[in-house]
Amino acid sequence: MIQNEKKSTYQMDIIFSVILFIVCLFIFKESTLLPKSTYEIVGTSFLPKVLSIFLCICAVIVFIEGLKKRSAQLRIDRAKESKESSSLKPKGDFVKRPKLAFLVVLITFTYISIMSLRIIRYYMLTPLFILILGFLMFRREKKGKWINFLIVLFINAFALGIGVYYIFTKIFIIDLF
Amino acid sequence: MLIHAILELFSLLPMFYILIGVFLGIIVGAIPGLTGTMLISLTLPLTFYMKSTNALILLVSMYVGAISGGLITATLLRIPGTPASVVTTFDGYPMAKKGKPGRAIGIGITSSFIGGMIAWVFLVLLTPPMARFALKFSTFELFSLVLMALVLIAAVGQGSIIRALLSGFMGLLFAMPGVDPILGCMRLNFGIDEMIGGFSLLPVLIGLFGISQVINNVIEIELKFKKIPLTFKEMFLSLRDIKEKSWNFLRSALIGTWVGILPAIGANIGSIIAYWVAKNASKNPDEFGSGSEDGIIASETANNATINGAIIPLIALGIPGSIITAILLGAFILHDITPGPLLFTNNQELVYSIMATALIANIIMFLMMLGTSMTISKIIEIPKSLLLPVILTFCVIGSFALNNRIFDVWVMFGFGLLGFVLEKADMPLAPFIIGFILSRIAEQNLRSSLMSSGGSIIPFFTRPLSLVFIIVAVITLIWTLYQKAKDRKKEKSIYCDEKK
Repeated sequence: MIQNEKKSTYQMDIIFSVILFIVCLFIFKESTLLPKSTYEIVGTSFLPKVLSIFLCICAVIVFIEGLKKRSAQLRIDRAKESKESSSLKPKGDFVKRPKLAFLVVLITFTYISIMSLRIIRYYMLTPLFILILGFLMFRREKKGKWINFLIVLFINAFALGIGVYYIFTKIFIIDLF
Repeated sequence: MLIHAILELFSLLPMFYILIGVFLGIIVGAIPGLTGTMLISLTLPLTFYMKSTNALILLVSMYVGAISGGLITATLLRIPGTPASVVTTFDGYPMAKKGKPGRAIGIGITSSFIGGMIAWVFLVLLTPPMARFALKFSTFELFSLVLMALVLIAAVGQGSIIRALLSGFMGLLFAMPGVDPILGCMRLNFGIDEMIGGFSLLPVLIGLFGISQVINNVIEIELKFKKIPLTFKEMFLSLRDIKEKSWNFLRSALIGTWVGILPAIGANIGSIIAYWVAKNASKNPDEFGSGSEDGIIASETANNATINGAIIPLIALGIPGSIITAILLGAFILHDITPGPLLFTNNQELVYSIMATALIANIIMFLMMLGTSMTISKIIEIPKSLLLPVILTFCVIGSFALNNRIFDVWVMFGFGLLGFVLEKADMPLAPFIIGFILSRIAEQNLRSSLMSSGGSIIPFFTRPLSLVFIIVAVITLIWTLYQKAKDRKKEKSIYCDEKK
């Protein structure tokens, strides 16, 4: 098998390598702006420059691997031309629940944003965060009964939210708002 | 003196500190996103009001517990509770998935115990000569050693060596922002004030291993873990088992102790090298990565052995052998104890108390892990919809608590997404994090070496120890590339045969 479940898709390889290449070029450019040392031979910019170059080379190799995978995939698709697999869609298992994963990332992003803006107090925000995520995930997981889950989730969310707040603010003297 | 120190620990207060330290260490080590480093850092201010001996008893006990506790979630959830147990996920998790979670955890606990005990013997008997030997390491040897470690990490991985190296280089590069280690000037902070100190290790770790794993778990939310009963009996290894694996135990413990002694190279490197050696010495190297008992033994024996190994240079030279011992070094200073060779003569009571704690905490860890693993393992039966939001909360609070700033939380979040993408692009995470940890040591030693040699790289090849490390790195790289090419050729011929 040229492409099995575990291997990355060619789209992932190509996109990743292009982004990495651009980021490394940017870092290389930034490194050239660093001040030069008067008594040191290699200086502060030496390693960032060397690493950027190494990474650019690696990114090119990954890009070529991605192209090879793409042509191999196209050959397989052509061989199975009558079937629906003729599209260029990857066959890997990139995401089984992409929407849920995206939602979790988005909610976590919102949670951290609200935390940084200090709009809602931590002991109220955290239980809310746990409750929303818990509801969303339980709908997909379908493990156990709703009512039992709800009771445990509420206890869990409030005990954890308030417990963590108390421990960190009172014992470790950390300002959680 | 040592026996007296051991007996002293059986009084009420020191024993309480050992018990609470080991227990908290195991719990924190087992909870993904929380690490022993964080626990010890957070406990440090609380020890201000304690007697210095008691403070170090508590902190060393936490260290022992935290390194050991990580194996539970590493085995049952493929989430390493601590970086030291990253390698345990390679075989612990597949073995648990195959229906042997009790056996996997039992092997891990016993290996941790044996590793700790063997290393303790070295801690007590060989501290002075080994410390003298480590003193011979100049910057040339240290850089060559880091280079060798990075190559070994890339070679250990299952997939493409280029992708493993890429991951390692990325780790090195991401550690560059912040204060230059030699000149002290600012570098690559892109005008962001919070970037002055660079990316802190803890948020990076939590992000890479916590957040990315949570996302992976969400993707497979419908995947049910098999309810495999984890029985108490299953966790015990027979004497025959131990006898059969005795060489692996001894070899891994020796590697762990040795790596622990080397400055600032921690349990993760010890377990990686021991794993790599075990894999190459094994009659069945293909089993590694798919639930090999030898893989778990190598990883867990070595990572616990590094604890006592890392304490050797700490008490003999005042040089930390790991991140946690660096924090312990901070504890010495906070308690007005001057670390260094004079510690032996000036604070004998304290030195022997640390040695005694390392022994007793290891025994208590073994008993406590056997007793509590079943309870801790219950987290595998908790619905993910209850567990994952809690893990996310701990990831956020764990990152925030480090420096009390939201920037670290964003760093954790960013590295979490990066970790997820890296895994999807077949880039292993272990080289990334090891590269990140070793970056500063590598750069400092490389630049200092070049400064002392006037820019010449020849001393790297003329100094015997440095040359040995470089030769090992080169041979490893060539051997791995050769093996991969051979495997690819074999795969290709099978594919062609199938086609015919």
